[in-house]
Amino acid sequence: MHIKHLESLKFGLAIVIALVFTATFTMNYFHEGTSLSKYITKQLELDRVKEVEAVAYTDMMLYADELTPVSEDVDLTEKAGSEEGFQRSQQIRFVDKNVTLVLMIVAWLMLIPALQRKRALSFIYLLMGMYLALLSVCKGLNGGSAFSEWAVPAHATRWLPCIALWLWLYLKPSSAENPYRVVKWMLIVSVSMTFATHGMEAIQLNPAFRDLLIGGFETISVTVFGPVSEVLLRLIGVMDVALALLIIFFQRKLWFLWMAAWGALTALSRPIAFGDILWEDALLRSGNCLIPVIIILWIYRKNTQTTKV
Amino acid sequence: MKILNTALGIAAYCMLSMTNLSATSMTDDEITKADYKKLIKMLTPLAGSTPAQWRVVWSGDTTTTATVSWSTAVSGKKHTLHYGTKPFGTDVAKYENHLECKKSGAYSINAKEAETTKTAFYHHVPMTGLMPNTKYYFVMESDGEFSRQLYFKTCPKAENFKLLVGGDSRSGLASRCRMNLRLAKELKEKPEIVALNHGGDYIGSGHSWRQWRQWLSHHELTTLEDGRVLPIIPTRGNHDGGPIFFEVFNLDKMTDKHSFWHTISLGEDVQIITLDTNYSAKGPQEKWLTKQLSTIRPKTTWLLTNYHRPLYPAVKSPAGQTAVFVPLFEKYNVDLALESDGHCIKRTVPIRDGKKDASGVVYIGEGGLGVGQYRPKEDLWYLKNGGYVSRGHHVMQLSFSKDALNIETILMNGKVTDTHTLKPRAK
Ligand SMILES: [Fe+2]
Repeated sequence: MHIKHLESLKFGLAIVIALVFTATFTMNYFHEGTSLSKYITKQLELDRVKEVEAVAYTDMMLYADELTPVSEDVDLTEKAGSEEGFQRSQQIRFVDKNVTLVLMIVAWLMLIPALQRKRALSFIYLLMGMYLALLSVCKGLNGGSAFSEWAVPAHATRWLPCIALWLWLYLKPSSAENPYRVVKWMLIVSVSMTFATHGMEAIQLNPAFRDLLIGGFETISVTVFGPVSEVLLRLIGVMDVALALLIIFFQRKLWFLWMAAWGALTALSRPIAFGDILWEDALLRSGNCLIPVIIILWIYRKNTQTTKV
Repeated sequence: MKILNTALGIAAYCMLSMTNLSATSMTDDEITKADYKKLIKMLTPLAGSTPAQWRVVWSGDTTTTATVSWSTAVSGKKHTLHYGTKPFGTDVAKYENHLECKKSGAYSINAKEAETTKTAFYHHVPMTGLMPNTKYYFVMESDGEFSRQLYFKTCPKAENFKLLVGGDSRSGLASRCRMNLRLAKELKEKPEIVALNHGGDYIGSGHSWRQWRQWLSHHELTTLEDGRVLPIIPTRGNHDGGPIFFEVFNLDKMTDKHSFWHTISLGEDVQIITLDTNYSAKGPQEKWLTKQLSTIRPKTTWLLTNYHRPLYPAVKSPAGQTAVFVPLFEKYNVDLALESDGHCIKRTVPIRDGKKDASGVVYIGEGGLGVGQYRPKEDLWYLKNGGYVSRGHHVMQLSFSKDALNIETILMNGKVTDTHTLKPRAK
């Protein structure tokens, strides 16, 4: 009975992952390339124009710094023309779009029970998790947006559940319930990491959060003034961090319920606050709401079973 | 070795200065192929108390105020700006004004860079009470070391003028330098150009002094051989986080850590409201913007807004501030919005209520002062049927007169790829 229930939760987790990959593909296809393709394009561009050598040469000539040894005769002629560089960036973009397309299709195909049962295919989820984690790493490396350096923990509800599902599918069904504890813990940790990071961002007044807060209140005709919004945002941040820590020590349904509601509200806050529907954006954050829901169902089922026994 | 290199650098610089190797005498073709190493040898090395990395910064009323800023490698004791309306070369005693610098300090350097790199020191001299449309000659002095004589022109009060508009010079050092040569050549050929509005993303990481110092040195290439300096109007881009931006442009930090917005008044007929797309649109910025728009609109012929992340983008998704800024721009009939960040060339059709509308706002951009270019989305409704979209290193030139605002997009090779004319709104 319990195993069967877990099976449906496993299926639910696979759906969440498919949703995240749908959002990743849509954003990539209709808006801008992934952080990974941006990172690769930039590195190749810097290599094309010999930026490292150019910086070293400038350091030596203008600032008498020799951080990177370079000869005065260094050849700084670009390796290829800018049009060649552009064409290469277009090729990367093409591959980028298709990688996310394939991953989305695979994520939906993996919902077929027969495929889920094949242990060898479970590694697909490991790859998916690593891919999403890599996107977060690249987001941090690319910089240029507030708190992008915290992208890896902030996006934990995207990449960590993939790795959890890999483990879940890889473990032998015959083994008892205990091995699944690791899986459950991975989900709890992913929620905790995301909440803690968002909490820290709120405490440090992430400008995007403030806009959502003031805009959200405006929809119910409440004006939140600058200093009030700061206090509120910091309080929300403290609450997020506190919850993130609490769930590590005590797994109470109510807290996860609160997190699921809060996750849904923040994921949908853009359309609520500004009326513009960026559904891919909300979908990308669906894990922030749905992973806590899965954890609740897991705990709930376990509790009712224990009481029955 | 270090000392020898500095000495070599200074010697090369002196020799080249003496031979008056002029960047702006290059042909358009030579500019696009300019050799980075040769250009670096033309720049003033940052050594001792020799004034280097000079810039004239505009904010507020540009007909009567400006700030001259420079850097020195050592902190120094006394920094003075000698200036006036008549040229006296380095015979500094003869200048009408001598202002001692009261705003000096070390550029912030992060802990990692500080292990291997020394920071430098900024010096800002804000000038007030200037006369409009007037040449101001100046010499910077730091502990007895003098710069050559330079000059800039204050903005005219009512006469026609041109403004250069660009953004995104964060990577591609050679392209950045070549675009600076382009700016210089435009300035030389069209003396009615008053300044450069830089839309942000000067460097890749705003916390890196090593990147900022290169940008600052490269900026010297915009100075003409006769000493004319192209004033710069600053905007904060998403890569310009951290304190150095404020130290470079002598800007006071606002109540909220690193946010920054300001109004630039270019004479009686042109006003630019510069916003900060790194900061919340709601709250203080929205309040300030509404007040600026409502007071300025009735008084000015040309009302422009300027900020880094596009609201009607050609490459990426719209900035988070779109839902707040766009309705305000439309309500107060902004004439033109200047955008950067997308690394492409675009001019939208006039937009109102999410539709093409002759009474709407035109958005132009999106940054080409050296950064590699992206492919814009050509099929967006606001870029088709009267809009323009392309890619390539570029700068835009705005020509203001009482009865027209002419927009030209100029490529690195000097070719004009797009022109468009706006008529003033009926009062
Ligand atoms: Fe940018």
